[in-house]
Amino acid sequence: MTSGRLQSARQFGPKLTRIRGFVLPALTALSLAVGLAQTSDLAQKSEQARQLLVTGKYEAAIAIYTQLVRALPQETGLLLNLALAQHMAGHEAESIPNFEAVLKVQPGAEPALISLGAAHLALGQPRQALAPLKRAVAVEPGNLDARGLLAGACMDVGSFEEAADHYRRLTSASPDDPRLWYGLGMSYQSIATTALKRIQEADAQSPYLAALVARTRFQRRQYRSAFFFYHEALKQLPGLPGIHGGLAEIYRKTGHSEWAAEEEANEQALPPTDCSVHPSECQFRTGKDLDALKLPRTPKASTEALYWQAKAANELALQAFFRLGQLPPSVELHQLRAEIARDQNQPMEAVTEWRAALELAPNDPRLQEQLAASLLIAGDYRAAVDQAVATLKAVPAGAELNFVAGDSLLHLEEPEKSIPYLRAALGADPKLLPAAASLGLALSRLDRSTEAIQYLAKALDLDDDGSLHYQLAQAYQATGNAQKARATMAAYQALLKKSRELKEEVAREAQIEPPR
Amino acid sequence: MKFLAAMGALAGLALLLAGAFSTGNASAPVIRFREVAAEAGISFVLENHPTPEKHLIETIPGGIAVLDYDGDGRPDIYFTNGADIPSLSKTSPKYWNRLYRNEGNWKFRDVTQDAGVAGQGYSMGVAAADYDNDGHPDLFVAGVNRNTLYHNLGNGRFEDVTAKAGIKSGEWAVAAGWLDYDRDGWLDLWVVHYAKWSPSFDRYCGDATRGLRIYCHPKYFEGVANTLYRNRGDGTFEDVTDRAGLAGFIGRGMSVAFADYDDDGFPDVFVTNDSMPNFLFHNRGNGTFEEVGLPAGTALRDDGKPISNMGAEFKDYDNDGSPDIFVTALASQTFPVFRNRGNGNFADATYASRMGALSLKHSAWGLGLFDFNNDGWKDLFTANSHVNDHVAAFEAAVYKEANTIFANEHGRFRDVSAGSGLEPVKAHRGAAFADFDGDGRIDAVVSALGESAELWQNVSTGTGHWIIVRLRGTKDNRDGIGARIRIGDQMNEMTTTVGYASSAAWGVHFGVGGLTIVPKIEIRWPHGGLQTLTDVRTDQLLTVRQPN
Repeated sequence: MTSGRLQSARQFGPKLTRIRGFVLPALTALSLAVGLAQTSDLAQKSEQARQLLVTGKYEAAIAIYTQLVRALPQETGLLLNLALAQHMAGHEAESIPNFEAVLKVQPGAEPALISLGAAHLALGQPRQALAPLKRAVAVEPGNLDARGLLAGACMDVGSFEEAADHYRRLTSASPDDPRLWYGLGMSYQSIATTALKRIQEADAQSPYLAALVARTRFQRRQYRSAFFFYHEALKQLPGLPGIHGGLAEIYRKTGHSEWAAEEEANEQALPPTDCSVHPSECQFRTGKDLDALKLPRTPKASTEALYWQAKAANELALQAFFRLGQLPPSVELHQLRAEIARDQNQPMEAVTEWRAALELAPNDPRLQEQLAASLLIAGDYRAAVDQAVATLKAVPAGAELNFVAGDSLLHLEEPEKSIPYLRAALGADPKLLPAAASLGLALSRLDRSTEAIQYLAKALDLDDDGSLHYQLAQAYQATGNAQKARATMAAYQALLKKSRELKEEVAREAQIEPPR
Repeated sequence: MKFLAAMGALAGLALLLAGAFSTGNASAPVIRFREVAAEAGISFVLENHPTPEKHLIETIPGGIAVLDYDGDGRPDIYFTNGADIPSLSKTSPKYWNRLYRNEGNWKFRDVTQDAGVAGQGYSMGVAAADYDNDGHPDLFVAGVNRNTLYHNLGNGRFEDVTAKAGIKSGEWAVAAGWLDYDRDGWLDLWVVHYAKWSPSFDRYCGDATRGLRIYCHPKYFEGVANTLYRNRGDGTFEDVTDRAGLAGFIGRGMSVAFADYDDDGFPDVFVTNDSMPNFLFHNRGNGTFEEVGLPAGTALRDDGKPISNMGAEFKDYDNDGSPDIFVTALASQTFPVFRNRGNGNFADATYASRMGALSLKHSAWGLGLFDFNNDGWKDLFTANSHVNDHVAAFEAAVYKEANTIFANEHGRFRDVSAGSGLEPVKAHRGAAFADFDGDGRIDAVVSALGESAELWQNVSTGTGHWIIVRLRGTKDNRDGIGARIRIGDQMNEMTTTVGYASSAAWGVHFGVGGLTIVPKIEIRWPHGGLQTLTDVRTDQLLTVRQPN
């Protein structure tokens, strides 16, 4: 479950606010226009429908508007109202052609542009949402709802720099909205991640990559790992600013203050940077993060430039999140804290934060889903089941929620109860391999090894510790297939050996030693 | 008349047999305990010397032995204890291991000094048995930095014969057990080692931001092989680890249990490993062992993931005549049950036995599979606590717990702890079991980190009849360790290892339900001879001497 999707799902302004904010005046104007051309009966119906729409009785409004549009197909206003009612009632797919029809006649109709964009977003079609939302923002640059929806759509399609640009404008206009600061922080963070990935693609052994990974590991409190990667960076770039400083931070966190002082001195002793050769570095070091962020748009940006872009973006993200932290408690702040806790392997803290977010937005099924997942990770399986099952009432086809319920029940040693949920998870998403793995184990536990084999075999790609191979070997054994059991057990042992060797290698390398 | 009398007698016998092991028509007798340590005079506190540095050894001690050290027919109790850190020396009497003499009527007296068994170093586990067949049970104490072999002189005193016997120290030993692996009539010693460690190990584990330092995960510690000492029969031992094929099996051993799982006449060895697959060493009968844990299905639970295996019991819980395996572990891992299929391999019966669901929220160390209500089915007692005293800050688990008792109802378990009296919430560790008062109901003694030990008098009501068989080997080792005893469907092997790092050297207990006469007791001695007793009165401690 990605936070990106959660972010864009928290759309700007509930639909009702949008109705009241800008649709009502439009409805009023259009109703007047309609009234001039209608009979009194149609006018009465039109007013009735308008009242139903305004008071939230969308289905009833749809019924009347459908009749009116049939009776007066040339009245664009009625078509718009019908589309709006459909959109408000959640019939997004039906609303879209109607919005498009209105826009053919009135290309600048802002309510139609915004609502069309929102409808596409609700259907998980961010790419299709871009065009109408961009037009809406062009028509009225000060419309925060439109720009907010557009920023979210940009995030969803991976246009992080564009998203950041929109969020910067939004936070300027509305500095107390936590959603905007969260969005800004996430867009910068995504820019940093993209830069890191580009470095990795260009050169997986790059010292710049090692330096960035070191920083991430440090933030996750994985100090030994961070230590290792900083030294990898130092091997090739002994003069790279920030590495000795990073090592000093690690030494301080691990109680080696003398070593920390030594590394701080090493950092101070670095020669000044030649800004004509390293402009991005100089911009970053002088705090001009936005400038450091801007990269020449060439496919072959140097790894060094990408490195400083990532550093700048990370710094800007931190600033945005800091600002978020200064605002009163919000769903976004708790979400951010929950994600940090998750990354730092503190599942109980993550649960606390998701619960706090839900207190502010108790009926948000996406927050409920995140809470259920966190409870599973924290090992509070009974609470995870209860939360997942309760949330499934609102989102019955949710693959991941069904998986959380099923996997939790399996952990609770209730395999027979877990099976329907795990089957539902796979039904909703056949590629959800963890659900296949859990279903296989549940069936094995109930002595249904013949059925279990196909699911365990399907999930083998997930197996990084050999346990799935072990389960499959046991299933083959139970069904009398000794040869396959032996072969699969041999594969398990090979995986176990490889995993152990890797851990030992990491453990050997990741020792915190004195400064070299 | 004689005929009618005979018919009457036969009818009576039929009724007796019918009442023998079946309690299926009514619920089993209620299992209850009463804690009597203080009034019994037992004031032992397991001093583990907790430190801010969270040295791993602090959380692991607690082995207990039950043995009749003075031969007066009453089981006595020996507690192992910790030491000062970092010196690992017993710098004060508070760190002494303690021997309590059972004086009858639930009164115990500390005879540690008289007996000369205060110990040295940071002690962990203990194994009691008569290794020299002189009729007096001896003690082996496993420790972090010092193993000690105490020879029982038979006069109320013990002699430290460690060096003389050729027993080495140095690697961290947690537990040990006595077995006659080569069936030469002399008990050999199996020592379980945990990991390489020294007081200078100072890795920070935990959450520095919250100031929560915790005991490091075992993955940071390199494991060590077990050691097997062969008893030469002259008071000395030979390290045959290499020769026996054991040296290459590196684990983080926590406990050991013995049983002849494949019924080939040679005792096999099950070793729990912390966060690693368990070992099952099959005795080849030629002085060597082969490790078969994975193919036999006892290395891991059915999900293939290693857990924090702690204590073990290797006994027949489902009365099918084959020894099964029970293991304790940490909360959310369950206490695995490996049911012996009788064909050389085991099935994971954790779920089928209901132990999975019942143990999910518990962490445990010591355990004992004994028939606490004498209904013919062995029940499970676990000594509970987590390893991490800050666990609640990291996951949905608790550190200190009350002990638990699970009643065995024809191979499926039910948690009957509520109302059993097992209320004290402590960091429990080792547990040993015996009938301390001779009433046929199995009692328990449990250690707890930093707190007083518990002595649990079994006060279950409506319990069935019982018999305790004490073996006296002549050709075989005097304790009869390794002998297999059958009464009806029930099978037990004589062993002195129990649970976690603990020992109980006092006989083999059977609950026999409604039987007042046991029609047949079969004893298969390690040397192979089969001895049969018939029409044995129940409710007695029966000493059985091996025929010459």
